[in-house]
Amino acid sequence: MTPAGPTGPEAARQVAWAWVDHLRAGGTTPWRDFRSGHRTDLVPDQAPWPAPNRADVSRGRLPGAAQLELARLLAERAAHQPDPDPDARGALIDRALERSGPGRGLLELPLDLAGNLAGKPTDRAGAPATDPADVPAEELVRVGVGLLVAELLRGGAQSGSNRNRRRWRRPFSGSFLLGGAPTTTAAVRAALADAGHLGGGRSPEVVLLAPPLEQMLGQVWSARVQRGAPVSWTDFVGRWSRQVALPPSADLSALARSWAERVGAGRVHVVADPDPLRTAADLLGIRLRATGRASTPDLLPLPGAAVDLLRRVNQVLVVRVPEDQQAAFRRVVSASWASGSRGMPADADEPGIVVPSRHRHWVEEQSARLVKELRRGGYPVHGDLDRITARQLGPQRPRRREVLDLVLDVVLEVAAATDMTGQSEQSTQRTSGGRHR
Amino acid sequence: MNGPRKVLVHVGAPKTGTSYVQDVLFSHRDELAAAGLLYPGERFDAHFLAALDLMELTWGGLEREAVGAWDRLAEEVRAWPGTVILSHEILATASRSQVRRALASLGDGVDVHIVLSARDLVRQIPAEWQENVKHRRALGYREFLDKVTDPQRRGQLASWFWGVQEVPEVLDRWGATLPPQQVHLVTVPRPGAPRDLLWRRFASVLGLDPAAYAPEVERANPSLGVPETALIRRLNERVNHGVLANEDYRRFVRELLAHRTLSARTGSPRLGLPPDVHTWAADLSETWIAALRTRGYDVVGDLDELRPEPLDHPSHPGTFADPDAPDEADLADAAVETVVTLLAESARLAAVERQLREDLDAVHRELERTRGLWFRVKRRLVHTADRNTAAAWGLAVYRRARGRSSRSA
Repeated sequence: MTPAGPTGPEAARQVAWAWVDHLRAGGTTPWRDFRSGHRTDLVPDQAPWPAPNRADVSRGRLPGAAQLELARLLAERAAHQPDPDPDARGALIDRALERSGPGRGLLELPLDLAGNLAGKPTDRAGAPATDPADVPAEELVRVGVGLLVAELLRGGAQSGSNRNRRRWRRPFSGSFLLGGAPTTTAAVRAALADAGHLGGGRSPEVVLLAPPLEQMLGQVWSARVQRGAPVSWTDFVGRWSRQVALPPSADLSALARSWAERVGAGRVHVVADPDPLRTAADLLGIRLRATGRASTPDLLPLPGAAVDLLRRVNQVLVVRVPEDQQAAFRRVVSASWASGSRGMPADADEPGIVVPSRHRHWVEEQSARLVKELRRGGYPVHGDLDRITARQLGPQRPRRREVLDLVLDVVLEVAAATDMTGQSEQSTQRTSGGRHR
Repeated sequence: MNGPRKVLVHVGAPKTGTSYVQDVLFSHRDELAAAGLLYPGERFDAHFLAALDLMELTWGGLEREAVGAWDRLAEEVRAWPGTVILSHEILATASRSQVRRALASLGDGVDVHIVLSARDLVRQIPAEWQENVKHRRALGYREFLDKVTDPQRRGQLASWFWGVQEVPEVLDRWGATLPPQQVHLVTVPRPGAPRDLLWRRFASVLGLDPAAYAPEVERANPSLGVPETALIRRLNERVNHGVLANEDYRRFVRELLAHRTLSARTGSPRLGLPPDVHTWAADLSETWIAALRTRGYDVVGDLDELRPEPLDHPSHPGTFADPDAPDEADLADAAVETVVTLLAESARLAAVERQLREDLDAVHRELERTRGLWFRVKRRLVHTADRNTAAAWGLAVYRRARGRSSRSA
């Protein structure tokens, strides 16, 4: 199709604006297909430094390639959702097109209007013109995280969203203390608490949960991120491996030694078993019963992509939100994953990433040391200590594509929740206004 | 002050005398305010924190102090009836939507002016690498040059560099909605120009009497020689990754070693560009100058000053000294000087520590005197209770009887 009309850069810009309108209306056609469906004889602006275009100013500048692609992906994902609200979706697309990426990243990439500049070095100054489909996933994630934080701030902090019901201690419940792998420990602690066993007390039985070290490190990383750290998995592992040490909560031999000095080695149990909850409950003499009211653990078992998303969100929250309010926003993100709509279930191996190969030697050395020292300590062991050294399977860093998918899902979810709250507030106001009338 | 309110936003670029201007404005803010001109912010880095907030940038932990900083600054701007100056060099890299947010926050009916100071690329590129090195980067010079000259500008480093240094693009982002006469480009004079010429140019744009606000102390951002920069880069390779926390790096490496010790060394070869990059930068500068001539901006100075001096110009450092392969004897000299500086600093800190210990001991002794025998008996009991069950039980009974178990014995 070659409709009549202006040619050259002005025509190319008109097609681009038509594509923007297409995205705003919920369209999902990639730029390359949209452009070729409209005109094939377009040329880019060849001047190395075009004068600022006042026509652009009248409609605003064309959004950047990353913003456009993010908007298209959101529209694509929203199309699969039930009962989309076109107005709310259009408004979200507008916000996505307007939002620049937070922190350091690529400069705003201009849209490759004619499709013959992308990927090729040009002598044109300024950031290289880019086909939105070629924007790196890392940049899309950055821009998406910026949008997500904006949506979180639009919705406001959800106070006390994960507050569990008050738990009551069962009479005569024994004193115990859980330690080791943080997210497993949090899950076991929550399950035992649901059964009325809250732990603590004088001279407790100490239960150290010992999954494979690589997995435990992933959990320590996850725990730190869930408490606000912005550190990436590779930086986290790199930092500890250079110190030739383990994070304190993963150094089970040091933990066991420290507790043995207080309660005696015989009361320090090491659980190296694939079913830590069952094993811990058995050794503490606790009968688990399904109550149907499972509490949310303090730390959630998130997959690597979700932890990576959360640490990127932390990077923005730290400069946008006072410290005492950040946790509430983090809870919205992790609860959004935990609501189970992601299709990436947390499994026993969460967070499902492995130590990068350049730090393999360090993790092998440390896991062997742990096994040796735990054996030498004479602690009761439940399961097989060699499990600590078991090599895990998985990617060496969270997959960017998975992180991107997650950003899109959480953005849609948070935006929909905010819109729904706004609608119900408006409806309440209308109702109460009607009554007054 | 009559007439419309006016806000001058000085957005960069780094390494063009911005610290100097900010120092003058901050140190004279009371006199300026009395004359109807506001340089807002209670602390020296208020504009930097506001820029971090605006651009959602992390900066070695400083971002924690930046929450809400832009809005606070903008509130001061809106409340001031006269002229206001904002200034920070990292603002140059703000995106178009961040620029829109920034300008909108300054209020309605405000006469906004954008000021950008610029220096030729042949001086800016080595200066940016040095700045990178002083901010913990361990990247080699050639690697840096390759990233900067890559037309695809992949990665954060090239994006940041061009974000703050690409003069026509920075002015387009900040000035797109303003009449060109409200966009001011201050060019940095060539070496050998009168020392106060740059200040006079700034003063003319900012509407200040250059003589009345001459800087009391020059807060220079001094440059390093080639072996000195190479030394800091090698240090970075060893102290990054958890060896030195950011605040310790800032204090000991950047301030003590780089700014106060190594930058004072004279006689070391200065950092320049290798001939191939020099030619490339000169060609690029021509396209900038040509583009800027068509824009109609208010140029304070001369656009020709953005044209690098040719390689054979007397001001050129001469033979290129490569910081990736420095003269090891020069580097060893610089290293010995840093060891001496650090030993002197260690001795000074040890003396401070000794004095603090003595002060603390004196306080403890005084405290002991004021506490009676009963306190010492209770303290001994508490210590015994840590090891002895009977004593622990007795202590628990005592605390229960007292009714306030949280109070320290």
